[in-house]
Amino acid sequence: MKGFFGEFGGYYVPEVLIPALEELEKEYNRLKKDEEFQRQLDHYMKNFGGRPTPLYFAARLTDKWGGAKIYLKREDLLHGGAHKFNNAMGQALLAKFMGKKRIIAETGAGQHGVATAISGAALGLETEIYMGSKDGERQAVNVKKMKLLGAKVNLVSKGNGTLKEAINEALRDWAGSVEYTHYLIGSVVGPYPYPEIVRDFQSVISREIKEQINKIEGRLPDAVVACVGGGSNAMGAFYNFINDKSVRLIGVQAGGKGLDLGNNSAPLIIGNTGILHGAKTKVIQDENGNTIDSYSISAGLDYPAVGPEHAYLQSIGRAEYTYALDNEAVEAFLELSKTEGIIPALESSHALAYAKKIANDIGKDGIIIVNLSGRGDKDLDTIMKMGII
Amino acid sequence: MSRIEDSIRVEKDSRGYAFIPYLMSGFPSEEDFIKAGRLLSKYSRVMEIGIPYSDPVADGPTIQLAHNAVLMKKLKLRELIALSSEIKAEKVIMTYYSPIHRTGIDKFVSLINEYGITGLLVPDLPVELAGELVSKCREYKIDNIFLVSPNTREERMRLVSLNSNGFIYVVQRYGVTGESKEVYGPIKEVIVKLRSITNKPIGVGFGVSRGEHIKQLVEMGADAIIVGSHIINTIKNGVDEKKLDEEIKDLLIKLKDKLS
Repeated sequence: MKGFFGEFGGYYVPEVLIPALEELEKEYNRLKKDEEFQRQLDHYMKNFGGRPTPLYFAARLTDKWGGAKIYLKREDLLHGGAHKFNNAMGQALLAKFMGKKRIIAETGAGQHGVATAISGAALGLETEIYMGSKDGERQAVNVKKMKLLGAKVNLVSKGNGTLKEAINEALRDWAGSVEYTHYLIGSVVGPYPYPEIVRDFQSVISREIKEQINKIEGRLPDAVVACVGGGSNAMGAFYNFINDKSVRLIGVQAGGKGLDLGNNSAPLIIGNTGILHGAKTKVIQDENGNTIDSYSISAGLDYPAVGPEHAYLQSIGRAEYTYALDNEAVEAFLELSKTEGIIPALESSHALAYAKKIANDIGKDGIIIVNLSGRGDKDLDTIMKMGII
Repeated sequence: MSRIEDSIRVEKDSRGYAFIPYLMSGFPSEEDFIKAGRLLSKYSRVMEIGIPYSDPVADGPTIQLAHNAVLMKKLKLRELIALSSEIKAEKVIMTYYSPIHRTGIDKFVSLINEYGITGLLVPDLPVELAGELVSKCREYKIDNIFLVSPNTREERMRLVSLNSNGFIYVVQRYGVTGESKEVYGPIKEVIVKLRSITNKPIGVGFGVSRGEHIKQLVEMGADAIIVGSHIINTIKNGVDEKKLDEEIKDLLIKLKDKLS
């Protein structure tokens, strides 16, 4: 059925948004094949964003862990400091080609907000960001960056003050402004065609990994590991390996303080099939279908649902989903900083923490690629508050 | 024949249009919800009853507040639906798709049927994804009400009309629920086009809060007028029956004077 990945996905949204989603689908399919659009996208990716990003062999970490070779896909080096740029720039360009004057976006950790503000400034589009008030506090530097880049930032104090509320407000804004506004969703979530568009823009990650690892090692990796909140960096890192059945695809959710309800952001582990933000997917919810607030030390993973394509890959057994706890992520954060001279985002640290667990099982002959989705400057406050440094 | 449609026609014959008030089940309290419902049923044969949901993206601040307030009470779905059986009117349940999906379509529809509900409106369930729900509702003779927006194209209006019973709900402006200062002018074209497609009653809602709005929308061709946020605002601190009664009389009588 159109708009679905197996039983997951769809477009459960108010009627006023249906024409906009239809227009988006049509325009996206047209521009995918449009030479001028592709030329400009390529230009911004290379000369503005800094693609391709390196695939870096983490020699000291590999030695220390004593197992498989660890490679890091350095999305943290991309403009804005995270993989978010791939999608934000792509969609902003889409908005411009569609004749929209204004873009709006939600943001959790602020990385997507920053990437959207960067893209909006580069293309001269009016930019407005919705961010939960709790997230605004713990990622204060990113709020300042967005403002500096000319975006208007709306802090949403409703509910838990995190990503879920920010998406609700962005959807409400869009319902009223849909004629002249493009909603630039930041992850592979939301109604169709968003999960597909965001995944396509992010799939550059796995396209590059495949080429790079082939050049360096002359073969495919044994596993690709990525953190999963909404799941855009993971979809990007997995996508071009889906048909390579020998490659394990491992998504790591935020286990928070543990697997009890309310203590984590791991809908793929503890959630039900439900509806949130326009998609049928795995959601942490109560028996009446109300969403239960999620928790994670990492704002970018603090979301009670997940992209529908991940729910699908899980249902057919093509990808594995697991979790890392807050403290495991923090340990990995510190370890990579000291061992390799790279400060990772707390989000990406979840993927590192799990890679460490499987490095020995996969063994010295094996290759693990960790998608280092973002850099950790934004998390220094959180880490310092814990009294570690 | 639909009981909701019949009721709208009877009311329209006597007043010039039907008045469909919206209440949130259990808001502002269980007792006050029943009190408000009983009072409103003096003026209205069809009522919309909201069932709360944690992420109501089609609702503005006023109705969001009602969703949250009722969720805090942690009532069971059955209790929320049972409350409405104290009110004498044709009742349309308005809720989001998540609670229905989680409960299960069969179970949800048979539950509302058990309490005499005759209509169901799900603002985030597009008509083409509603096949299973529509066939279940037909089994129980429960009307499905789908929505038309200011930007809905003609071929989609036909699909919505075909699948709707009771009435068709026209969202009279861009955006979410909430009071507004004036009627969105271009909605006239939508109502006129929809009228040329269907004989089913046309209900208009979102932002209707004054007698003047009702007058304009009825002149444009609306058969029924839905008023939500204005009523929720009036009762949010408790139901003062006299005040609510005056508010409704004011809203409805002003129009009657102007129409006659």
